[in-house]
Amino acid sequence: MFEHKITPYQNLSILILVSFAFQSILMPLLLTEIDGPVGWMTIIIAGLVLYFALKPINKMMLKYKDNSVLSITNNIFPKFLSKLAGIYYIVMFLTANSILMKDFAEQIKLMMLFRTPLGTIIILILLTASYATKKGIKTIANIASIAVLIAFIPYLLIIIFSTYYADYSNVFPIYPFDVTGVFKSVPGSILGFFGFSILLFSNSKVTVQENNRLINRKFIIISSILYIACYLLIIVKFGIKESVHLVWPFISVMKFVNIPGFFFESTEIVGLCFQIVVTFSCICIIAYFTNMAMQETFKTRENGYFIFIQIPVLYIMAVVLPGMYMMFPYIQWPIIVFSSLNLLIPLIAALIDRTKQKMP
Amino acid sequence: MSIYQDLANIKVDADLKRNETALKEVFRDANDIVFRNMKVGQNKKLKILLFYVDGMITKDSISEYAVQTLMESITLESLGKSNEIELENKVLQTNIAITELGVLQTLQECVDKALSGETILFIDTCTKAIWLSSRGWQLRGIQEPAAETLIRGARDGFIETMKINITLIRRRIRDPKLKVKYMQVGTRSKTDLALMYIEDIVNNTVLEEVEKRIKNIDTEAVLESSYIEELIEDDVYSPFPQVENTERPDAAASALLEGRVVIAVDNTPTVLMAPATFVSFMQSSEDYYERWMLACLIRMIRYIALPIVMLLPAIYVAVTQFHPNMLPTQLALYVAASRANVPFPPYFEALLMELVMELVREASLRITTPVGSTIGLVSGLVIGSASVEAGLITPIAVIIVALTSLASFAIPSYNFSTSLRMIRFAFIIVASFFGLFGISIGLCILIIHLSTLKSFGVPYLTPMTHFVERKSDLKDTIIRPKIKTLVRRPKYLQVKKEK
Repeated sequence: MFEHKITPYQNLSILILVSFAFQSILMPLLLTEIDGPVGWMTIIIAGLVLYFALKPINKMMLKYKDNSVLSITNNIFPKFLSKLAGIYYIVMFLTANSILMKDFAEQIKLMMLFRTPLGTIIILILLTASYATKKGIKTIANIASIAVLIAFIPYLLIIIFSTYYADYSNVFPIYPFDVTGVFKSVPGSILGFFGFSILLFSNSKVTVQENNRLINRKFIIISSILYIACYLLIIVKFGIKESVHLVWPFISVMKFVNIPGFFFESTEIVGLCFQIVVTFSCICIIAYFTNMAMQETFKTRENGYFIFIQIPVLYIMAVVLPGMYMMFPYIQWPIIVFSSLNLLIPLIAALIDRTKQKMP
Repeated sequence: MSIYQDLANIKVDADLKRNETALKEVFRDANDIVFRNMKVGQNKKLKILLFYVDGMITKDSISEYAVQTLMESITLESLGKSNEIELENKVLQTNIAITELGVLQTLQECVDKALSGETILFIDTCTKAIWLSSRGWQLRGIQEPAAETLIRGARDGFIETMKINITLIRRRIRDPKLKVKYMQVGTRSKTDLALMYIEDIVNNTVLEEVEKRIKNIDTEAVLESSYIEELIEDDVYSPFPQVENTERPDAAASALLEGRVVIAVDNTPTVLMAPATFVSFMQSSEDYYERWMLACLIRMIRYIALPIVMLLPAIYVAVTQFHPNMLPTQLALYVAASRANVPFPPYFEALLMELVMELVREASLRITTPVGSTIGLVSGLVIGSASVEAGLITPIAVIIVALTSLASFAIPSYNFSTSLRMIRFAFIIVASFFGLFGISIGLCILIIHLSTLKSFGVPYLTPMTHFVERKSDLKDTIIRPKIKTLVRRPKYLQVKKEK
């Protein structure tokens, strides 16, 4: 009765949550590709690139209110290209979601359910996520806000408590820093800001779209801070040499949590419970925006039924694809392609729109 | 066509006898209906008929202020052949000393009024009847509601008479902007219902929605406000209540002042308040009567009790069955040792104990109050200790179940607490299949469900779902701020006046 759209800060919660999940997954990439503890420089560079890229994109999205990047490309690009862009986003979201789900399911299997088949865990997550996705953007936004309050913040607090016995000298030496490594890992870091791809769709669902500019900037800043803080935490906790061998640095960090009076021995399981809620929210969010990309590419009206197409596709992809940690040696090029396209599609659209506007 | 169906079309007849015959046909075999024929005026020329339900009226007031004055009235002497307007005016304006009365046109109206406890006066040659306010039956005294007792606060509670309940609220809000709209529901029960709101505060969209849903109720009888609650709530399949209820006038008054709509239903002491949110079910009137720091502590305890009620037995199942490595070594060894002689798996043990606890609770509710609580306590103790000694369950399971039951009493709303207790069983089952992962997935499903749930358009999880935009609403959730700082009404209600 009151709201059919999401509020600007619900949008911010969505963007931060999604980015955090991908930053966790891509953290080992940042740790392995740079020689030395200067991954934070990469994050800053990636953050700055996205911050400045947002300016024309914000302008374009404000002009085409209530339109996602795909609706805008439909107006600007030739039909063939706009369809290609739509298919790209569908494939990209599906791939990202399946990798996230696979990694997430593997963590659960490894730490919680040793004897349960991976497929069972994946299908359980998928079915639950599909229930949320079908309910629409408002539900997704509400879930994201609640997840921030009841899971994301406690999860971050648990991580903070893990600084016990940390060696802060691990963040040095900064000089001489690995310039090649820093720049080489920028595409990976850009992909870590996965919320950037989501905002191209979610901004059209916001009630007060004039605030999107500010919210998008806030997202880049907060996400960068979180990314840097998490990176530094892993470094101070394990040191760069040990960190590169960790499969999931965040889970390893939680093994050494020291909360006064906390009597559970395996704190990582408690942390993982919070992470389940956070990651689950991200899966729902990406699944919803995959639906949206499908709707706009195939020009159907808003419905939640595309999730039923997604379920088998996501399941097969998640079962077939190896986990992210196994793919690291082979994903240099895909990462460059994905992060470049994520950045270029909206930028080119903004550029063409501006040129068209200037033409008499 | 039967006379019942046609009653609405039958006008009051000028002939008293015809009216009486028709009404006697309607109330055939109803011995509690009284028809009293009289001749009034000093010369006893004017014939009248009194019609009422025995036991529902205060006979004294009718005899003293209506019948007696009519009998002794000199002005009625010459009215035998007067036109009906003159007759009606004379009787209404000068001969009846009852403050509340009115004119009725059809027999249906007469029947409805009589069944509500009014007395109907038919006058010969007059094609209109007059209803005289005479409602009066045995009432229960105003007492403190047994289910909502407080340490500090008013001791009066609602009773079964709607008008008295309205008065109890009016005494607390002496504002002409407090509006009361009467309605009737139930094709047979014709239950009176009052919609109360403060005109310059309430959100009109909410008010219209409540009104619309009440008008759309198509049921034969409404015997309790729970009927209305179920018929107007947004999602009838949800385990969570979407309309709040109370027996306390102060709680209802507070809801009105917040900008909510209050629905008082006749024949029930439970008043409904809408919209309701997750947070409103965790609040109690007493929070605002105690010192704010103490109230904060109590509220925080309630929020700690919430996951205990829902999750503790499930966590016990998950930890003992799937993740014993989570426990400190000594505790894990103790749990393993105590479980060695127990024949049941942890999930069965938890389910069994929870079922026994619900059984004890249900049984103690059905037994008379002073004995009920004692029997509940004794049976709990006896069954618990006997089961441990018999090796059926572990002492830890008894502690877990007792703690869970205790925590459920910390939730101020009985309805809400019952919902949480119900969900607990679902969590035990998922925990038995997937351990902590199952609990987390269960929580996710619960969050999804609650995120979609609305109460008259207000999101159920608000203000948590809008914690930045409505951070001022968060102020009065887990903590109870100082009264001085509670100047704004909740934003989520989108009321007309925020301050």
